[in-house]
Amino acid sequence: MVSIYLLIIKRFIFLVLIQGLIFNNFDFFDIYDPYVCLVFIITFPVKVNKITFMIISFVFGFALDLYTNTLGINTAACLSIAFLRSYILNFVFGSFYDPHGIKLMKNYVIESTFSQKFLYISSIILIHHLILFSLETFSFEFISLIIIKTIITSIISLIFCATFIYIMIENEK
Amino acid sequence: MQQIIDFIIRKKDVVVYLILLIFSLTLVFNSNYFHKSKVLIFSNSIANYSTENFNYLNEYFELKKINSSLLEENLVLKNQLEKINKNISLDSLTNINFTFRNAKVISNNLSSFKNHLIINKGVRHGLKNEMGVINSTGIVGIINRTSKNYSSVMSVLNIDTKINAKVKRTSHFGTLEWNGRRTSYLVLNDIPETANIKVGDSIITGGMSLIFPEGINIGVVSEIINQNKISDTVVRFKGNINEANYLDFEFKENYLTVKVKLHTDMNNLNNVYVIESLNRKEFQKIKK
Repeated sequence: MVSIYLLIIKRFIFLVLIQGLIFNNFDFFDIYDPYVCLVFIITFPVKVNKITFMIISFVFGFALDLYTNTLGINTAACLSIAFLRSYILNFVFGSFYDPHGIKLMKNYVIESTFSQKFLYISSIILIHHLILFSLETFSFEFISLIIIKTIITSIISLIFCATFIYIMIENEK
Repeated sequence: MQQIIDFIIRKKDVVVYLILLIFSLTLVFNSNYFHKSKVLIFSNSIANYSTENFNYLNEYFELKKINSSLLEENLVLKNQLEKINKNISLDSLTNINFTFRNAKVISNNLSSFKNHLIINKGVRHGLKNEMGVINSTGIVGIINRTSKNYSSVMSVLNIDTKINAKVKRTSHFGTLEWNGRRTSYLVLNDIPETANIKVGDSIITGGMSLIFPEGINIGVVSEIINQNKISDTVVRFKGNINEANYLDFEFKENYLTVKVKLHTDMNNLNNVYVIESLNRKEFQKIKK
């Protein structure tokens, strides 16, 4: 159990720094940034208690907020997908998902079909971006802009997150 | 009572989620108030410190570009100085309204709807809220928050920023805003239709708010869009006028919406100048 928390702390620091220092200045087509930080929540160990998970992702979102110079926007978005993740896992993987977390991340990647993987990652990214951008503007005036931006940023984030996860499972024991 | 406690224990995930969500939403909506708290200033300065150190690396590769842009600016200023020396006597120089300070951009964000910059000077160097920030080519933003060593600048690419601007040729005033779409274009509202604006006219700051002095370059008109085309249609009706009491006539003056191409390249900011207005207190006193 201690080793799991060590792993979480390592990923926490690494992903906050890589998001805050590098990917926030990525500026794809000037206004689109990939949100690689979501790898933290996508690959968070299932074994850990849900309340602990929510508190950790609350702190994670707060750390991201410090780098983007906003308050509470990333926090609310990260917290919400941490809450929704178990439902999404249940919905996507069905009986394959075990809440006790005996399976490794590698098992999920190898044994599930492509559509399952795609649905899981893309639904988390879409929900996160929708909450993030709508809290940021908080007006109906920009609603078409929010939807366009959510879709384009999600595609970019999806590519980056998938690549990241494939690199990570190479190193997993 | 027992049932309520049982219910809370059963649904403890939801309860914890709601508590944390309410906490984060209060952070969002009271962000102006919480900015002043000491914990936040401390933690924010850690983030700023790490970004600043990381930026040294980045800056090294751009030294050549920075150097040439500084040289160019120097040339323009030298030419201006020459003109002043010839035409105007020294008396006019004693009447200073604005002073400039230099600063460096630490972090620059373009991807959100409310973009902010961080510059490496703060209260210790005499910066305050609502000071204008410019670049050698044009405007950059307005300071909205200061800490001891750093300050945060509301960039012009922020949907909340409103800057007073005017057309240089015709001197019509308008408000400059960002529509959240592209980083090199701003939108100038509230210009009356009677103003004879053409594509290619230059837009400068209006100097009505003492944040920016008058006459700083902003950009060039690239497109003129007529705003009220739909309400322009003439309503005709036949019959008794007494029956038509529900008809509402609205004769608005038509305003133009003008798309402005920015001179400033917001992707690429290094050295900026902070403008302090010396008459600000006096101005605010009389405005009340």
